[in-house]
Amino acid sequence: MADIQTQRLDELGSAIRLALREDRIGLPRAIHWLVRGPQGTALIDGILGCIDTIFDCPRGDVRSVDGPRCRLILARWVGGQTATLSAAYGERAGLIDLVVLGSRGSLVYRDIGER
Amino acid sequence: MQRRRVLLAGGDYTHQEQYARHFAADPRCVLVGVTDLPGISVSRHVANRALAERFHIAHLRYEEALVQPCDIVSVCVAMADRARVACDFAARGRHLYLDKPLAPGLAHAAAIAEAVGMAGVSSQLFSQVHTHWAQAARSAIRSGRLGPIAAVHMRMLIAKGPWGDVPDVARAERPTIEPIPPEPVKREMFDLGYYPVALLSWLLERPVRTVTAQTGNYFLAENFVADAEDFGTMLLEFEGGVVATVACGRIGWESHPGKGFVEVVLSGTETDERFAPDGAQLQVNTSARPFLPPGNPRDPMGMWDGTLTGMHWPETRPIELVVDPPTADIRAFLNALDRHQEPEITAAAGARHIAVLEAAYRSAASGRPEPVTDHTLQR
Repeated sequence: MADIQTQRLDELGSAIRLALREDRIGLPRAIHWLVRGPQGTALIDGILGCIDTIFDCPRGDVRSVDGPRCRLILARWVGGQTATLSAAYGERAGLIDLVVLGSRGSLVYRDIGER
Repeated sequence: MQRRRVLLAGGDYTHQEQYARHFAADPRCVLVGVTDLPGISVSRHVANRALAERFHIAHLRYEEALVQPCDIVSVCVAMADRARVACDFAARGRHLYLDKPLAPGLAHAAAIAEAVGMAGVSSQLFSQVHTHWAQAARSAIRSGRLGPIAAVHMRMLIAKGPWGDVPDVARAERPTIEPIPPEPVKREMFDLGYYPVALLSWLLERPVRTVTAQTGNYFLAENFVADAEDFGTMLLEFEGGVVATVACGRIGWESHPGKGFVEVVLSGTETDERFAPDGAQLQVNTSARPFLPPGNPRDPMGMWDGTLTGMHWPETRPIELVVDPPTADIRAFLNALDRHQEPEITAAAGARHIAVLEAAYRSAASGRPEPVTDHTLQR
């Protein structure tokens, strides 16, 4: 059975793509995405793959910085888009905090996870 | 009690519009005049005179202002002129209230910090540290309830400016803080990126050592045409291993129901916690008239108080339960003077912030993490 947080991230990706198909916020330009949970930095590849489908163009370089039990990512896409991502380890399914900035609006999602 | 005499360097169409109002509102102060350097543009001269007339104070030539008896100078002149003005008045024993960012580069910023230190005067740079939510974040860190802080994240994304046609292309990054473009745009990783750099450095009480950064032109056609980014993002590595993400920029009037995404998330080993001016707010659901941005062609970004006064905000705009008094920062400066205490964000700190921002531009151009130069400046 899929991890709850992974499932929620998949759901998020679907919802964001729906918003873009419906032209709710114009063209997606920048993303700031925070996540914390038992999978920690293992979530990064999946999230970057999700962002690939959001920006819908090839990914460029990915730069990373490691912190205490977390990894920060600054990635670029060939259309000039950027995403900044933080994935941290937490014992409980925790924080998902996401802002997608479009050329004519934004999408926001916040989930503080289990307490 | 004798009131502190405040001289205003710089006038309308700058943050001096609010600084003047806040100094004037404090019973400990009296405004004594407005000044600027000789040789400024006609538009700046007119803006300075307008501020002087509105407050019924003298509009002084610079030579007159240098000998004008005063205790405090609020420095809000053009970026390229700040070092000269700040150094001139510090040398004459005036305390300095400084607009942000401090200067267009580290050399200028360091000169201001040195002049302040040599003169032994007090200095404070405008920042967000005296807001209720920044103070709450600091309290949370000091309480230890989050556990040791591993990472911090800040968004400073201001919902201002008219959306325009901006192509999907990567910016040609420059390794330096290029000359500030003329109105009505700003270089936003520099201008808005200052806030997270200052606040996070203050919260963590340690310096930034390395920066990885990128800029973009995403939302505002005026910025694209002026080749000035409207967005910047940074990864910061602090002394001791704490790391941070920053997203900053001017994202358009209707990108957010309120003022924008202004928030800090603290990630400790135990848990995360968010701090923001809209942490507690009343949501308003109703039909709303179409949003009408301000019609000031000189300030389409709504940067200045005069533009925003009387502007129609949508009826659906959320209402924050806790509103910081707008005078909080200046009041803190005056309190520090009264108590002979060092302000929280001094010129020396401001110079460190410029060093971080310079590293950010170098990183955006190089595609690599860049070290912050000059660790000799003390907070």
